[in-house]
Amino acid sequence: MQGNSRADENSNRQRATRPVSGRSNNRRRFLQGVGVAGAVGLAGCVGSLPGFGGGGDNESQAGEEDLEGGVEVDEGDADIILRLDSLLTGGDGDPFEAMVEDFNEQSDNVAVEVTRVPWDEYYDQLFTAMTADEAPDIAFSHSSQIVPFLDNLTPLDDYVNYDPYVEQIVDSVEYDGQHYGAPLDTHMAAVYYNKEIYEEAGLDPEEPPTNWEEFAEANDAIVDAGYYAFDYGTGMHICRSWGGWLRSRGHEVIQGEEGNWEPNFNNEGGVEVTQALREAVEREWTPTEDDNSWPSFVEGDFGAVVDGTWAWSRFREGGGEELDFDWGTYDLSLAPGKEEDWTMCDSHNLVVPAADHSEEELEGIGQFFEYMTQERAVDWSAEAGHLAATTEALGSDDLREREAWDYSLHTFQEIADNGELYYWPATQNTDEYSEAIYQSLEAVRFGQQDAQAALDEAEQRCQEVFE
Amino acid sequence: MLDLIAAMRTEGPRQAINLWWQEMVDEYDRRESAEGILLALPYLLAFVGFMLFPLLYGLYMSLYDWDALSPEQSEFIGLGNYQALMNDPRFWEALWNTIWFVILSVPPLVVFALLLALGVNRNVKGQTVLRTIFFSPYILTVSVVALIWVELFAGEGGLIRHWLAFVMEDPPRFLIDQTWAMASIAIATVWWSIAFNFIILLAARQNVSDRLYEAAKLDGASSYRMMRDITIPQMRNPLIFVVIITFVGSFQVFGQPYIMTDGGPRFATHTIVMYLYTTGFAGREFGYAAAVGYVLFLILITVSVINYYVLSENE
Repeated sequence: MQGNSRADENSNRQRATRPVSGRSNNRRRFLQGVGVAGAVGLAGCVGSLPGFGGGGDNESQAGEEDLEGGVEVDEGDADIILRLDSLLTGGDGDPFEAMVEDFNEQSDNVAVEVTRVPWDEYYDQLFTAMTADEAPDIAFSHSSQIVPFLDNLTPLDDYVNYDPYVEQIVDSVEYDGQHYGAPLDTHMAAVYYNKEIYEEAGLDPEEPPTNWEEFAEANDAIVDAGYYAFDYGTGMHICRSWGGWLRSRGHEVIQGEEGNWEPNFNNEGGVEVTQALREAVEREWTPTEDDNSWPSFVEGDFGAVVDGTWAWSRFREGGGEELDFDWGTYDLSLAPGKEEDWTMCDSHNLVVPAADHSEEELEGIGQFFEYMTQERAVDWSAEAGHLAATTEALGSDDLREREAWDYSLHTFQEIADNGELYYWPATQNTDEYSEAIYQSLEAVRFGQQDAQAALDEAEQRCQEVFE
Repeated sequence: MLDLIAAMRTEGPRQAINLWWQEMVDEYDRRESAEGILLALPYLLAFVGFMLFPLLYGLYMSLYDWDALSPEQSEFIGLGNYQALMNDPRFWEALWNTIWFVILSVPPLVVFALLLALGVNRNVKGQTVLRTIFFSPYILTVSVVALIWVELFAGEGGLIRHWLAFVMEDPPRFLIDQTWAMASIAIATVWWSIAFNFIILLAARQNVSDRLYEAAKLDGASSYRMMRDITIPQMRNPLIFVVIITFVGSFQVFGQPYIMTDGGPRFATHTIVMYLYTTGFAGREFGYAAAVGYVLFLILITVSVINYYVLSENE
């Protein structure tokens, strides 16, 4: 590439970026697909769908799952050995386990062994294990997933000091005045953009858009330069943009309380932000489907994609999808007509399934939680890309000196600093009502329904779920 | 044991030998029956442990508002789950989607399998190779099959759209178009699982005696006549088996829509087993999910019985 002139490089990009029928890549993609599928078949199992669109879940989109890993502990290494099932199987799995190993080394009497569980099966397995009284001593729970488990989790207030955490983050695990998880981080979505394409389109890559009008102008310029400008994904991924945008228009996705939830998106603000999803396709910022968006972005042929904090662990050197172009991130709070800034987020929390733990074990768990979520908060942010959950880490110079800061963490820190964190409402059936919403939003993206009809349908389905 | 000498004195030699023989046969039957039970015991234990008990436990759960994490807190609601199911539009939608999939997949799975079996059975060259080729998709897991077809049907850069673009201006977007999504899943399913039916029907065809065809040829029967009056009737039982097993398999479709479309677009491929899974594992409503399972069970029993009687009515 370096030997080519800029014009050649541009021409190559354009051919790969906005094909009328995508013919140039078809055979290669097909063979890659068959190869991947064959390899997976030989391995005898398959995890979640890798890639950008995926099946609608969170971290699966960070890339292929890697179940080889974990931390082993020999009996006799410590008085108290705790079993932890981890859902971190993407690029953030290794740094997490390195931290666990550090804890095991520095702890006198407590050791933690880690087993990786495929992300897309994690909650089913955890739930099944809990029904059989075979739950691990320590598990993960996203804030959005914690409600169905609450009755069977151990409150941690007696074992973990909750003062160091950012209030908005720790609120997401507080129910009836008790805390049920120790937040490892908060992870939100942002726009990951190719600064070289922005520059080529005549935009200042160091001054990314901050509102819908600027965003639209930038996207039009990128389209004029011959690239797709932006992709917000499909499945649950779509809700990262839409949910934050809706909140920026003053509306929570749902409102009420457990047992009495009501959809709250079928209103003027909801229709407008939903229309914006379609507008992105109609103005050719976004392709109708997102099959090629992620690989195109990684190859440097796509303006920007929406993704989460975890993308850092893939894009960084050695992460498996190193970007060989200059890139950055900016806040996704870009809703048309926004009244406030809000960005959708979630948190990884360490939780303790209820069991006959001794007081010593619970104290050991508390030590481990404080070590992982407080003492190592900066390292976790810097290595995994997720934003630390403690006030001290967020304000530290150490965090600002890490490589991830300039690429992504500064954006996330600003979001947290401004109090823009919007947690997708957690209910007994979060997945069900979320699916009811994103299936309708997909229909808008694909041009199968207009915004109003889609929201009418989503509202009705959500009501059916809540009934 | 029979006292043969005494019996000869009292019953006469002929009758005594008959009695002795009868006793030997009865003893053999008794022993065989005991050995049979012993040999079948491992399977029976597995059947009771892994089929019968879960089946009955599922029925029990379906009568409760089941709390899987604290079963002792489950509340008995009788037929409440079944009543709720009857008024649940999501259940009916999933049932209709499943029936639509059955309509799209069962006929080709049976008819094409039969045609393939009959074709390969003719003395064509490379019969073994053809058999291997036709059977090879069946050894793949559902995940691999689904991923292959996701790539083939992909909207941006998919091979099938690429080919269709040569003959039509705007080829369908298979997996996101409500009209095409289920058909696409059916195509992938037929490609994948037709091999099972093919092998069964090929074996059945090879069991039909050539003498019947030779006799028919001597009588001047046409190929169509031989097919109608010899091949199909002779293959009736395997065909009934294939039809029933295909119906049952298609009603239980899960992996293909789960991976290929995630139940979309707009729930158009959300099948009944997906609904069961969603209510159970996403909604944690295991009593309700058990009720869905039981309704599906009843549907499958009914469909199987109807199939059996319809297909064997001329026998």
